[in-house]
Amino acid sequence: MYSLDKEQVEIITADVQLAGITFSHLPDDLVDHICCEVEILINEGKDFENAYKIVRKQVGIDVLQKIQENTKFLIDKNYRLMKTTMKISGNISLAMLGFGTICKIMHWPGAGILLAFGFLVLCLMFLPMVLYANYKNETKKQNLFLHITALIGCITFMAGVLFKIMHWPGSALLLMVGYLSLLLLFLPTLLFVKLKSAQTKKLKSIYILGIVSLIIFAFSNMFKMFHWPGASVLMIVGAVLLIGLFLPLYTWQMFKMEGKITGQYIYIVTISMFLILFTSLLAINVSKNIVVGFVNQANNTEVINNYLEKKNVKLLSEIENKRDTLELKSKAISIKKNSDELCDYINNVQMELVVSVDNLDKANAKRVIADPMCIMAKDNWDKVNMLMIGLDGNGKAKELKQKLIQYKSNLTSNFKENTEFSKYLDNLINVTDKQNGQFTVSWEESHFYLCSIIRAISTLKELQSGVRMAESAALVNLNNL
Amino acid sequence: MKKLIYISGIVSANLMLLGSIFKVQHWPGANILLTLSVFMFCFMFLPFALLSSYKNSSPRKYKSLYIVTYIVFAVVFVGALFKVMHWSGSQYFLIIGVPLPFVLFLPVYLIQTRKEKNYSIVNFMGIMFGMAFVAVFSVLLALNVSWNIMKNYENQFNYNQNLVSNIYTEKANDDNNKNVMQKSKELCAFIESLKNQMLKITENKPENILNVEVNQMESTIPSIVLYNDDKKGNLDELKNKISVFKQSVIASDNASDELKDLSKLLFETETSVISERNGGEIITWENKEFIDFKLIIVLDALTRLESNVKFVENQLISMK
Repeated sequence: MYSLDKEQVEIITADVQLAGITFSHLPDDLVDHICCEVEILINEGKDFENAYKIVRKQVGIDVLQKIQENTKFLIDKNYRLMKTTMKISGNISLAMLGFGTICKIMHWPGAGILLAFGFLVLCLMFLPMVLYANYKNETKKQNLFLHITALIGCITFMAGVLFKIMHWPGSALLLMVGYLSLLLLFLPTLLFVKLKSAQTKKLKSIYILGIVSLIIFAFSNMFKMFHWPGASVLMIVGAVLLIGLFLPLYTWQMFKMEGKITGQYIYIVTISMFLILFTSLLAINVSKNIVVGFVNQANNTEVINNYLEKKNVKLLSEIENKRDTLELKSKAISIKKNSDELCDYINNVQMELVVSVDNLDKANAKRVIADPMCIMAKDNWDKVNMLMIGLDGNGKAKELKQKLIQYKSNLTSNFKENTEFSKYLDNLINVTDKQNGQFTVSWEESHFYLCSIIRAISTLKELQSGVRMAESAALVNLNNL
Repeated sequence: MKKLIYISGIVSANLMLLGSIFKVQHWPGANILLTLSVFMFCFMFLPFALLSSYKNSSPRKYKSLYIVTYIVFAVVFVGALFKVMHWSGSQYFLIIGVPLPFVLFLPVYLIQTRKEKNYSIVNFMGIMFGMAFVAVFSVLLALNVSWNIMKNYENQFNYNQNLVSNIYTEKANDDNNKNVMQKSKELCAFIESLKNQMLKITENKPENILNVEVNQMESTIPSIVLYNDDKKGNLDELKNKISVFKQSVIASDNASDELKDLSKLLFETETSVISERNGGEIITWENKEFIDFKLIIVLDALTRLESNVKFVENQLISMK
């Protein structure tokens, strides 16, 4: 079998170059192809000159240029289209997540749809495309495992977050798989790849430090999310390694190598600030489910209040029927009137709270107070602060306290000799300030400062309950006189 | 100057770290550290680093990108500071700050670098993954409420505890209600023993439970105590004792109709509620009362149960 010598190949290469073929590795491919054609003809018995002439008739300069154009059009168009879609889908999905978060926090409608679509676009469009583009772009295509672990880890983790938000079952499993594949497969592989490319020993140790501390830090996040013990220890160790040790070392290395501020450095500092901020914010937050405990308390107290109200009406009518002493009757009626007034007042405070937090009208507010699970922004505390404490400390709580003290003194004036009753009453409606070390915390502050609306509602219901219990005990006392 | 920028970057990140550790551990001084860190980052490191980077780039381009970067991240971090410090106005910062990186910074960045031929995909991936990280963690934050809400439990817990002990009876009518009193005593003793078991395992005294924050959210111990390792032992016994008490009240001749209705409402442990919010998920009594089996919630719910028992018992014996 004949094969072309170096000079003959050079002639063909020169011709191809003359045709203006420059795109990527297309000239090499074309030269290879022409050489093969020529060799076939030579094997059939022709000499090089004639064989090359025949081939050039078939594949002229204009044909070569056409091939180049077609290739460019095909490859570049797909590539550019993909890149544009990738950028747009990435940006839109992240913006959806941002707006979804705000809707979720502010209890606006549409949060679920925005978040679900955001996660879907991010996981099923953006992530696969960006990793494919990166993989294609790399000169050495040997990091397939790195890309696959990144893809699987990111998708399962994000699906876990989505499931958790939407309260779908299986979020814990997804989050666990996502975390583990990112932390135990992706990050070690990344370290391995980085170590291969590192030139100096010092750079190698910096990479090891960075990735190991990142793994520890991320594990603390995972422990926190699953409420496993030891999260705070891991967080402190990981964060100190990452921020206290890795960041200065890395900075020093950058400073020596570059000598100027690069975008990369600004990026790394900003991202580490975000990392600590989010981790600490997550650490000082608790799951939203916890507010249901306050709802249970409010419902329970409401049931008891309804019972007491009925019982007291019955007691009053009993006194009215049995006794003919006018004094006793009027005492009982005034006790009932006082408690009714106070309970109505407390009801109004509840209405005002719900109206200001959820922007409801009166009819809806009434419904919501009867069923506190319906309050949208259950964890809102700043509106409660404004209404109950106020800027100058003269909010509703102060007025309420005065009314409670007034009510108590009115009640006890009826039973001056009964010390046991007044002791019971003092315990039942206790509005004294608390001594906390050297500071005195007022009753208003200890009950309504930084208090979520749901707890404020249940506190107010408890107060109503206290009033009704006191009324009940007083009426029973009167009845037994 | 460059050294100063490098140092300010490291210092502000480390101050943030210290502040966070102090905040999580509830040590004093956390707020000062966090404020200092955010101010250092927003008004020292970020502007000067961006300026220096802009001046150093050989053809000076992307001016608007630098300006947008500064505005976006300064707003985001100052907003986060407002949120952490519970300063008023944090809500408005939050509404602007959470979507801002994705609606302002990212589009400007993508449009400005669009025509760059040699722009490496690694940088692009770095920015995109960084932004995705910020987005996902903001979403996670939306799931949570501030730790301050735990303080709210203190009052509730104290109120229920107070109801258990603060009993007032004029002319107790003991003799006719021996059965109910016996059942109530048994139930309360059982609840107390459950509470003590949980606290014993967590090695806490009852009065400390509200101060030790680490254990409040513990959920394995309450489920061990209530379920006896998945055998439902104590939980079943508790529900059984509750229903025995309820029956004894309902069967009592002394109880008024209102009291009977009340005890039916308060001690309804068998029926499950169908939640409309979570797509028709069936919620049993124990899942409704002992949400996620968190220690603080279980203790609070048990105390509330005890106070209910005492209240009903007391109502009964003070009746004529």
